[in-house]
Amino acid sequence: MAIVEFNYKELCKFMGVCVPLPELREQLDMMGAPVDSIDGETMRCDITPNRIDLLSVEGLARAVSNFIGAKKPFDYEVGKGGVTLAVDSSVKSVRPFVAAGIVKGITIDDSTIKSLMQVQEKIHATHGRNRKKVAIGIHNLDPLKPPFTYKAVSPKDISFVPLDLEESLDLSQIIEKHPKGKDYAHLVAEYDRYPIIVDARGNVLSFPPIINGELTRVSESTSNIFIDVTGTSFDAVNDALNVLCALFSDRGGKLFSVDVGGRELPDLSRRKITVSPEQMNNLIGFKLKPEEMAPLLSKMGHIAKLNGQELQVLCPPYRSDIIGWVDIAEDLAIAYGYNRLEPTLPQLPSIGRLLDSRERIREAMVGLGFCEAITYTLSNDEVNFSKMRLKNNGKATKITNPLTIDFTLFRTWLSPSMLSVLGVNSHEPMPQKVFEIGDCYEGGRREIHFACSLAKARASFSEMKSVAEALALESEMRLEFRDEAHPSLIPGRSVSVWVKGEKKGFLGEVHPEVLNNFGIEEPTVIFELEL
Amino acid sequence: MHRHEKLVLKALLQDSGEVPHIASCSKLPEDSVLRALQWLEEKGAVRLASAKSTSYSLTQEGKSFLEHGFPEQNLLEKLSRGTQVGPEEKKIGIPWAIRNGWLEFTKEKEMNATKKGIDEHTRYSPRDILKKISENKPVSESDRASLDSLCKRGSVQLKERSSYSASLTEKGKKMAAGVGEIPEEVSVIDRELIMSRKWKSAELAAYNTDAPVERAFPGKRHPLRKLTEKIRGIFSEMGFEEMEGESAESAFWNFDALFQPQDHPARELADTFYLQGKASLPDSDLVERVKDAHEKGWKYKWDPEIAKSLVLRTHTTAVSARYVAMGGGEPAKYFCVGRVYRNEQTDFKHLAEFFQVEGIVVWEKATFCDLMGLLKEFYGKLGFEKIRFRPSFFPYTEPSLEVEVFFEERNEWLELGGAGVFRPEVCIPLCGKYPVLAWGLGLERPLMIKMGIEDIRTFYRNDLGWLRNSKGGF
Repeated sequence: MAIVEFNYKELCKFMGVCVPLPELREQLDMMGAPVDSIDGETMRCDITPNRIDLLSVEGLARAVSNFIGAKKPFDYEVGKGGVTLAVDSSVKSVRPFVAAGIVKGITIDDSTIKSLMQVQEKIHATHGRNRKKVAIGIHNLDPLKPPFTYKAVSPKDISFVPLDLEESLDLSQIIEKHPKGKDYAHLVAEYDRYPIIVDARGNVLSFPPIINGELTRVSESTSNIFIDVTGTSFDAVNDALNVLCALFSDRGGKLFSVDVGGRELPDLSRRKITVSPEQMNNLIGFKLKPEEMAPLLSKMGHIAKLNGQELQVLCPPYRSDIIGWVDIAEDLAIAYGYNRLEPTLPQLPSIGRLLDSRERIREAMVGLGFCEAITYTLSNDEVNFSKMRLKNNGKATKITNPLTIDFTLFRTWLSPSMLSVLGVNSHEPMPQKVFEIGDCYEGGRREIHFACSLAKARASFSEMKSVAEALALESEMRLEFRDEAHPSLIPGRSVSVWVKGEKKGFLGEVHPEVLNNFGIEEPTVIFELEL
Repeated sequence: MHRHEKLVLKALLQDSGEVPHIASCSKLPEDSVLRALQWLEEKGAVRLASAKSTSYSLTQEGKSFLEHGFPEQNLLEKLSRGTQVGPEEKKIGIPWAIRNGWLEFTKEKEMNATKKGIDEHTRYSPRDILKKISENKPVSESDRASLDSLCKRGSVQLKERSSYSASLTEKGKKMAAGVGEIPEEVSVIDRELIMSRKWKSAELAAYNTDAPVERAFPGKRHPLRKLTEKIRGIFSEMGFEEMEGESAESAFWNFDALFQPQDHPARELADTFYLQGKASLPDSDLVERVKDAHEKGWKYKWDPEIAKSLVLRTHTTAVSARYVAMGGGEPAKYFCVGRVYRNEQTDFKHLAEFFQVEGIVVWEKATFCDLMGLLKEFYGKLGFEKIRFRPSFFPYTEPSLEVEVFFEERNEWLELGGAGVFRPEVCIPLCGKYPVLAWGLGLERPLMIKMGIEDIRTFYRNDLGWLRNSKGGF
């Protein structure tokens, strides 16, 4: 989810109609762009990652005005620009795809620049995967002389003045010195050649996905614009170009095409998807007539025509989220109104069935006066091993990308969790009795463990053994206890616990050093069993 | 009649007198005797007379003055000898010496003992009074003024005491005559007493039932467990079968099977915990179908090695994907409750691991409206009467919705779970059938609201004070 800021008045201006704020909020919620908060004229909307067309005020206004019926879906015209952007084969292994377009006669003020920066930033962050997949460059067209070339060059071979600097730097210097260069260096560092876009005179417009040239900076005096979008997928760069061209057109600019490697872009013609009204009715669960569907779909920006038993839907060029018929079906349901749909229950008879959640053990333990704890399954070397007087046996499943030192492995047993709980409770009245049933991993295998511990003055081995025996009776387990030392327990006061000839756990008085490690002040006995 | 009343009546029948005497005759403590006498007086069985007496005793200071002399005496002594005057003589001695007319100050502000002082200080009458009191001798009436002064000064303490004496009335005598054998009193009841029937001739001692007692702590289930159990019950009632999966899951089931492209942000290291080791992929036909869905839908080269990465499952939908594939598209209703993981910094709002529940319906005739009906039913059973739906987005469902429920506790609508119909790109490769309805929600957040908890970490801290006193919830 991206939180995007919009100015209420500006939104109304682009909608061409003023809707009172509470009603607008309701419409946005029901359209799928819910309002997160409102602060004066500033509205913050939650835009889902599939709707890059809603990341700009122009795009949101367009969607709302269609949704409330203030505007009918319309088409964008693109004049032939007669400008070429040649794509050199050198970019194939570096950043293979580029799309471009031209906007003329646009008026740019301070708020336009702010709005443009927000759209670019949000598209980069979501759809663009932090510029890796898609990066956008917006340029003042006037100082440039077409044709343009997109090519990859050796970093030392070309220098230009990057945005926000005065001196000319070569590409490797930009990566070392420019703030944006440092931020995005990792996107090009692995290549020996870097992508650039140059004009006929050899002026560098852009060093994607890092930085534009100072030469083509967009300012309030700019009226003609050149847009470049580069990336690792043609669809992704083309989708971003369409969204940008549509919003410039909504702002009053005239669109002109660029011949990008033999392809006239932007192509803002509608995409045709053929859907079956019956299939959509079956999916949603309503019974709309096909002719009722077209007006509903126009609320979502589509133009739909009935063609025999099928509905031909022409999707707007900026709706990259429409993949197939189910996406049209969802738009139909949204246009109809989710809360107007009648909830039904599937007429599919079935019998509920539960797995064994070890409720029997829990019931016995609660009956014996124990409180159930629920602890983190993630742990670390210190808690899982060192504090328990154990060496890491290498059998724990490790996290390869830990964010904190607290969570570096999946616990191999529950006793450290039990002792951690007692450790934070030394201020609470005794006796303290806790238990847990939970997942552990050892040697890459999932195990379900049970553990309980008891802390109080004179807590003893025999007291816990009687708990273990009571539990065994309750849950019909046959436990066998054999004298065995355990590093975490006091020698001579511990046993291993066997079930059906297999060692499954241990029971005993916790070693005082372990108690000190966990900050436990009273004698403690513990019992752990793999279930 | 109380046992004590009987004992007192018997004692009085032999000899009337004061309370201590009755106590020693009846072998009861004095306060029990007095209480019994008061009860008997109310019944008209005894006449109770009280007398007040006063007695004097020395305080700690009085004892010291008796032994070492009063400070004013010692002051005069030292002045007459010309030795150094101590702090007590200065602080307490000087004012009293002046009051007694023993001391005056010269123009040069020097202390000067008067003749009266020199004469009197060695035979100071208050000291004689202290001596008499210490020896329990009577103080004569002429010393009354000095005695009062010693009391005010804090050297002597006055004690007033009431003493009671009692005698039987005619009624009391009759009652006393009627008291037969008084049985023995027993405080500890043991097996011997019960089995031998000796309790029949014994009187069982009464307790002070007001006395404070030690606190007892019941064993309890964790509040989160109570909720998971409740939800399991709801799903079972609704005819859902429980499914189970592992925390350690392959990226294939967690992401790829759900049509999440391999460059999807949710798969990044900053969001997902990756584990050491590799998972194996399921049968190659299924893998091939998933690969096709990705390559056609997202237009990139799908990499099986990425799908083999081992992750801590980020949602229980990974389990759903496995069951959808396993069921081969046969109509079914499944649910799952389990721990899920996010590689996030833990704070009062976020956890790196938490509980999620999820329900799915695999059925060719299922509809989006059925999903809404199931949600209404499910949330209704959880206690939410008011529920509404809002469009939303999840990478693997279309149509999708967000459930909003009305929390009476907060008097507002809050998001409580997502739902949708699995995309054909998810269903068809997994089981060849479409659609599959699915919904899920996290458990900690709604429970926080129901229990009035501000910090989500509370659930995992297991503070015993909190666990023992925990109330509320669903």
